[in-house]
Amino acid sequence: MRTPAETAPNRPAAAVNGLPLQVAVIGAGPSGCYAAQALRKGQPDIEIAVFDALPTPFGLVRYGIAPDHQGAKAVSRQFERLFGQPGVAFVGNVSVGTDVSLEALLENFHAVVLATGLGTDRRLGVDQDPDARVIGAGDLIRLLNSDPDARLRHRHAGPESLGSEVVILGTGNVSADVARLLSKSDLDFIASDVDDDALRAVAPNPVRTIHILGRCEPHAAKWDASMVKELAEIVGVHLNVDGVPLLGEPTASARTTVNVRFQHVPVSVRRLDGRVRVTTRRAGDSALVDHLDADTVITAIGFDPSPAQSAQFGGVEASNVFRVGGPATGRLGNLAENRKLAADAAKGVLEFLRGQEPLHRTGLVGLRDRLPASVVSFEAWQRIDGAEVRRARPDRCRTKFTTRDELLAAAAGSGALVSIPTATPEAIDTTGEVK
Amino acid sequence: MTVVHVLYGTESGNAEMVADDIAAAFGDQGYETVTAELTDVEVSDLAAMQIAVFVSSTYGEGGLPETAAPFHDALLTERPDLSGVRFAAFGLGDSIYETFNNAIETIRTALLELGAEQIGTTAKHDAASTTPATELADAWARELLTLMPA
Repeated sequence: MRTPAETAPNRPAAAVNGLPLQVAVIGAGPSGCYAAQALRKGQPDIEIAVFDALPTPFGLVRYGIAPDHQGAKAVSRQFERLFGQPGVAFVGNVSVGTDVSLEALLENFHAVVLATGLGTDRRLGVDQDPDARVIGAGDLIRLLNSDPDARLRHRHAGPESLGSEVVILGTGNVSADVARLLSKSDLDFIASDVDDDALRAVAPNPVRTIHILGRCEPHAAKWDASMVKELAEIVGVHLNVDGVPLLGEPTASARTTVNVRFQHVPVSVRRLDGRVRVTTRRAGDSALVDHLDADTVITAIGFDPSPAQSAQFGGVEASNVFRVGGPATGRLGNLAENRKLAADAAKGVLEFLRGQEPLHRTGLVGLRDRLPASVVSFEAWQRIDGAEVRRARPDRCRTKFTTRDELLAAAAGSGALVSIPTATPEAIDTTGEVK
Repeated sequence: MTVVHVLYGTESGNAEMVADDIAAAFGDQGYETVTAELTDVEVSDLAAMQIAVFVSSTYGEGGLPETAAPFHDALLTERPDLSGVRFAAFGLGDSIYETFNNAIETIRTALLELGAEQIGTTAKHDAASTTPATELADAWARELLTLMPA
């Protein structure tokens, strides 16, 4: 147990000639923020710049946690506190590798932490018609969370209806999130920040039937029992597991029926009469083949690095480059897991830094001439945040901006969407804080 | 001078943030504070604490955070005599789950059974509410301060 003296904030630091250690974190999602938080707890005078390609911080807390789970999103309050500290900067709307090179970061910081997440839904890897309607759960949740880069938003004709019958492949928490979001009524979204326009586009009417298929046996499903219970308890939802009602027979007719079937291993996804046919074999008895026809198939089987992430950072190996979250483990995991992993990684970073010969590094200040003018500081993010809360529908906690132009306009504090703000290089003062 | 120990169990870090807030509120009033994660606390340390503030979130099916469970297990196994120990309790949870704030109750029950005396009311923050946990922590800590020995 630590004594009061040991928890005092000013322990001797491994500073170089009185100058603080400089760490860059690439990715302002939960793992990057947790890593920055742990670095500051371990070494309070360390200076940290957290870069993100999006104009907004918090990554999957903002765009990956389901919009009706605001309690889980409250973790961002910790990160707001982090960015409120002197010596911690958010450097938003800056893509490392495009706007500024990784080499430039390595020249200006003592260490670089890669927290770039896993940006792509894992592909199914079965025989699949290229034009069969198959979408990734991550893509769908990003859309319903107003991610400006959500791939489903950028279809030629905008997001399209998923239809009245949907198959979800996978039995993890993301699968439960999707089933819940597609089976809730408008009233169930009170106090959420769901993207109503996107939700109405993909589900103009509540999805009538949702089939969830898992390869494993019921006890091996990765989702939390509480998530399945939450789904089953939605008024108007009737949930069966392998044909058995989870909460007894429904008293009223169900709006949405969710059928969970375990030990179904997908073997092919085919297009059939404008719908999709999923063929599965029974685990343990592959002679048992089932067919399920639906309007859309949603895959919820994990995540991989996006091709851009792999190209940019995949082969990067240097003693002062560290990885946290998805890039370290190959899986996304939940907040608690990633907090622990980020704390361990931060310990490794601090050990490395304390064992090094002193080098002079200027951190963000040294990058001032190389950052794009449209960089979004934490203060600018707070303007976006305030604008989204102010414009919320009465029964929503916020209404997010859905395009980068809108986000940048709000960052500049302008109501007009036409003028895209620019921060001039002079706006970065010598303390390293982006104004 | 009374030393206030703020002891937390957390998984996503929110309980740690609340622990920091409570320690700050006491620190502002001149108290010496020690903040520690429950993994760093021995059950045998408790008897010597004048005031221990427990902060815990609830996980899964009403369970203790991973960092609080070993401490709770040790309490039940070692069963130290805690008469004379005064404690306060702050829980975090999410009312979308039935087992909302169950973990702080689990800790509180064990402490009371072993003879410790609770001061103040048990705070139960609801993540599904619009009140930030830090706001409740601040208000609760100020109320607790009025109950502190002079």
